Amino acid sequence: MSPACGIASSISYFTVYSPSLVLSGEEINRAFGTNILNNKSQRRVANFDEDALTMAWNAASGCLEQTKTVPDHIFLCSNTLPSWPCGAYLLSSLGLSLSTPVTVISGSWNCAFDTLSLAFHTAAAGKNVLLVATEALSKYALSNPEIAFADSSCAILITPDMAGNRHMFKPAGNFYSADTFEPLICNSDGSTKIFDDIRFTTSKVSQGISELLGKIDKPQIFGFSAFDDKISSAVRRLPQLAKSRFIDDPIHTIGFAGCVQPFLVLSMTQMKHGDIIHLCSLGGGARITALSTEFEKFAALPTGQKAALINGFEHFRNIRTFMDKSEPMRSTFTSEIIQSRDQQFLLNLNGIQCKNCNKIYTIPQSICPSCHEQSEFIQKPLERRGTIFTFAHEYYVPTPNPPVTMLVVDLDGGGRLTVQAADCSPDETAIGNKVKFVLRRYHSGNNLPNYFWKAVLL
Amino acid sequence: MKPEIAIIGAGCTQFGELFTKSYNDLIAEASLEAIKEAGIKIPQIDGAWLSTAFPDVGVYKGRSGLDLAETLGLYGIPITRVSNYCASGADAVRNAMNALLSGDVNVALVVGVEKQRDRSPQQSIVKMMVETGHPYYQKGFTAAGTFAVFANRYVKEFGLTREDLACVSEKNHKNAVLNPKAFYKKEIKREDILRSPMVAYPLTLLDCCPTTDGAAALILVRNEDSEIFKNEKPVYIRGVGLSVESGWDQPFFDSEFDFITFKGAKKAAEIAYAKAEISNPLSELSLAEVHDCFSISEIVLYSDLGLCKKGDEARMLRDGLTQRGGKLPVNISGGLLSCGHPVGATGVRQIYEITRHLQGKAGERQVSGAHTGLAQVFGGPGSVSSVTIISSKK
Ligand SMILES: [Zn+2]
Repeated sequence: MSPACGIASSISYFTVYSPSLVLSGEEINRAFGTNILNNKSQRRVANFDEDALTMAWNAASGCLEQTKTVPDHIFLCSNTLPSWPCGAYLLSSLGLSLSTPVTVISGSWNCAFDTLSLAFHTAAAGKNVLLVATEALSKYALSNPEIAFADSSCAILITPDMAGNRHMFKPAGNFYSADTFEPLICNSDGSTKIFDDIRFTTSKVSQGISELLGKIDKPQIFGFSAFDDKISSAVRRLPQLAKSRFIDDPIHTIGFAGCVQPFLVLSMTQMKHGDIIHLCSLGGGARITALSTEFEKFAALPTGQKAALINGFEHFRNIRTFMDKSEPMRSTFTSEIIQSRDQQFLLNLNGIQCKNCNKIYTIPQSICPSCHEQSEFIQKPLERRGTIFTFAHEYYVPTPNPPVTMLVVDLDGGGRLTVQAADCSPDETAIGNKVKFVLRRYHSGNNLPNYFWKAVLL
Repeated sequence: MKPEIAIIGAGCTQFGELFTKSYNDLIAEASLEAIKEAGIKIPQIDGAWLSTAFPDVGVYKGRSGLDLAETLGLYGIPITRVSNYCASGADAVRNAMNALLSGDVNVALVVGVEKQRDRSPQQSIVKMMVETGHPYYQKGFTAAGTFAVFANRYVKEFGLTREDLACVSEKNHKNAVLNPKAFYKKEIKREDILRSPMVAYPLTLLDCCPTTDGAAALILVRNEDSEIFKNEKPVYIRGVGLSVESGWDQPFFDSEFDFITFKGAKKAAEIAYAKAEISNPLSELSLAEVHDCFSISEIVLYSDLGLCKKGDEARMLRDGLTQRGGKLPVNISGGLLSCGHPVGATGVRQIYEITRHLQGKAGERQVSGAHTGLAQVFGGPGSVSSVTIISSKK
C-alpha cells in the first residue's frame, strides 16, 4: 500500500489535552484495600469543573489557535458528553459560526476509528475537518479500581491534501471484527461491570486481532489501546507482531480515556518519514486502522500542563461528585432565557466597542456609559489573555478545592472580565500575573449547566 | 444651600441576635423612642419612609411601606419603602428631607430596619449572592470578596498590611465596649483578629461585620417648625449628598475602575461638604460614623472623605487620629464591625449616634464638645454612597 492510493486528505495538526490533576495508583490501592495497581501508575483526571465538553474545547481551541484554520465541519467523538446541546456550546466557545455542522459520534471505544474514517472522507471532499475526541471517564474509577479510567481529549485537524501527502489515511487498513464482545460495561450511574473471566476475554481478543492481522501487511509500528494490561500483553505476544515496534500505551501515565485512547497512543510515538503505523483499539470488537506519515512526529504529549497530585481518594471522590451532589451547585439560579441572551455573547467572548468613543465593553450595553451615544457599537472579539488587576481568595464559596480565587482581569487589547481562577493554589496568584481563559463548568440549576470562562495562570 | 431640617426625635433598638423580637417589634421599639423624644403623637406624622434592603433575608417583611403602617396603625398618609442597598437608610432620610422641604409633609418619620437573624446563615445574604446572582457575572464572590479586591489593590499600591486592617477592627471593637446598643461589646486584640478564620483573603472573620437584627428611627421637621415641638435639644441636618457612581457589575467589567476609590463616597462627601460649608473636614468635624462593613472600607474612606491623602490612611490610623480622644474619632459607636449591619437600619443608626453625641446624651462614649458629625454609608461594591452632615447648631 503506497501513500498514492490513499485518500487525498491529511492530518495538519494534532493536540492533546490532559487535565492537570493526578490520581496516584497508591491512593487507589489504599482506598480499595488492594494492591492491584502498580504504585507508580497514575491517572490524569478532570477537575470538578471540567467535563467532556470543556475538555473538548481545550483540545479544539489549541488546535485552531495554532493553525488559524476555520473548520467546515466538526466531528465530535465521545461516549461521555453531557446531554445538553454540546455542539452549540462548543461552536460558541470556539468563536465559530453556529451554522458549522457538528456531527456527534458515540457508541463504542472504537468510535474513534469510525470518526477518523468519516473525517478523512469529508476532508477528501474538500473540507477542513476538525475531529475532536473527548472522554470524561474517571467517575467510573470511583467504583472500579482495576481499570485505569481517566479523562482526556484530543483534536485533529484534517485537511484536503492536494500536494503534500503528509499523513495519509489508508482506508484498506481499517478492519472491524465483531468476534470479540465488549468485556467492560460502564453504566450511566457511574458503576461498571467486567465480565468475570478476563482470561477468556483476553484470549478472545488476541484471537480476533490475530485474525485481523492475517488480512493486512505486517505492521512496522503497532499501537494498541485497551483498558487492561493483561489484554495488551497478550496482544504483544502475537507472532504476527514479533518484528513490529510497539508504541507504549500511556495507560500508566495518563490512564485510559476510552475513544481518545488510540489518539493518546498515537501521540506517544516518534515517527520518521514514510513510517506506517497501525493503530488498534478494543471496544465492541477490535479495530485496526493504518496511517502513514511524512512528518517526523505527531504532536508530542501535552506539554506545559502542570501536574497536581490529588491528596487522597476521598478528595478525588469530592471532586468527582461535587457538581452533582453539592446542594448549592444544584439550586443556583439558572435561566434558559439569560443563557440564550448572554451566552452566545459571553461564550464567543465578543465584546463591543463604542463607535463614537472607542471604549471597549466586555458585557452587553445598550447605551455607551462613557459618551452616552446610543446603539453605535461594533463587535469586538476580545483577547483570551490578560493580566490580573486584583483578586480575592474566597473561603466560603462552595468548592471541593477551597478557596475559590476570584480574578479581576484586564484583557490584552482592552476590556475587563472578572472570573474564577482554575487549577491554581492561592499562593500562585499575584497582581500583574498573566492569565488565559479556559472554558469551565460553573454550577448547574434546573439540570441546566452554566459554561463560562475561568482563568488559568500562564 | 443648607437643607434646614431638624431632627427632633431619634430612637434605636439594641443591635444583635434579637430572637425574641419580630421585624414589627423592632419598628415599634425604634419608632416609639423617636416619637417620645419628639413629644408627638403617632397621628401627627403625615409622611413616613421605611428602609429595608433585603426583605427576603428576613421574613418577607419590608417589601413596602405597608409593614410600617401596620405596626404603628399609621394609615391615611403616604408611606414609601426605600431600597438602595446599604445606603437605604440614609436615602430614606434624604427623601423625607425633600418631602419636608417641598412642603408636602410637615412631620416625617424615617425607620430603618432589617431582620437578618431570623434565618440561618445558610439562608443568608451571602447565599443569596452565590445562588441568585447573574448566572455568570461575578459568580463566586461573597460580599467580603468584593471588598477584598480593594484590599489587595491597596496592598499592591500603598503597602497596606494585614496589621493595618486589623487596627481598624481593633479600634472599633474597643469603642463598642462603651456602647450598650452594640452587638459585640468586647475588646478584641489585634493578634486575635489576624488569627481568626480567613473569609476572603486578606479579610478575616473579624475584619467583617456580622449579620444582625436592628432598627433605628428619626422624626424630622423643618427648622422653622422645630420650636413647636417639645424636644429641648434638636439637632440640624446641614448637608446631605447621595451619589451613584457605578452599577453592581461595572467595577468588575470596566478597566477604568481602580479599586482604590469609592467614587460614590467621594462625590457624596463633596456635595454634603459644599452644602454644610465645610472646607477642612478633619478639623471642622467632631466625629464621624463611616461604613466599616469590612475593615478595608474604613481605610479607603479616610481619603475619599477628604480626611487625608490617598495612601496616607494607614499612617493616619497608626497615629491614632481616628481613635477615641484623637483629632477626629471615627466609629465611636463601634461601627458596623461591632454594632453589626442590619442593612436598612445602618444609615439611620449612624445619624442616631451622631444625634446623641451632639445632644451630649451619648453616655460613657460621649465625644466631649461634639458639635458637628458626619454619617456615611455605601451600598454595592462602593457603588452608591450617602454622606450626611449634622450639627448642634442651625
Ligand atoms: Zn462611547
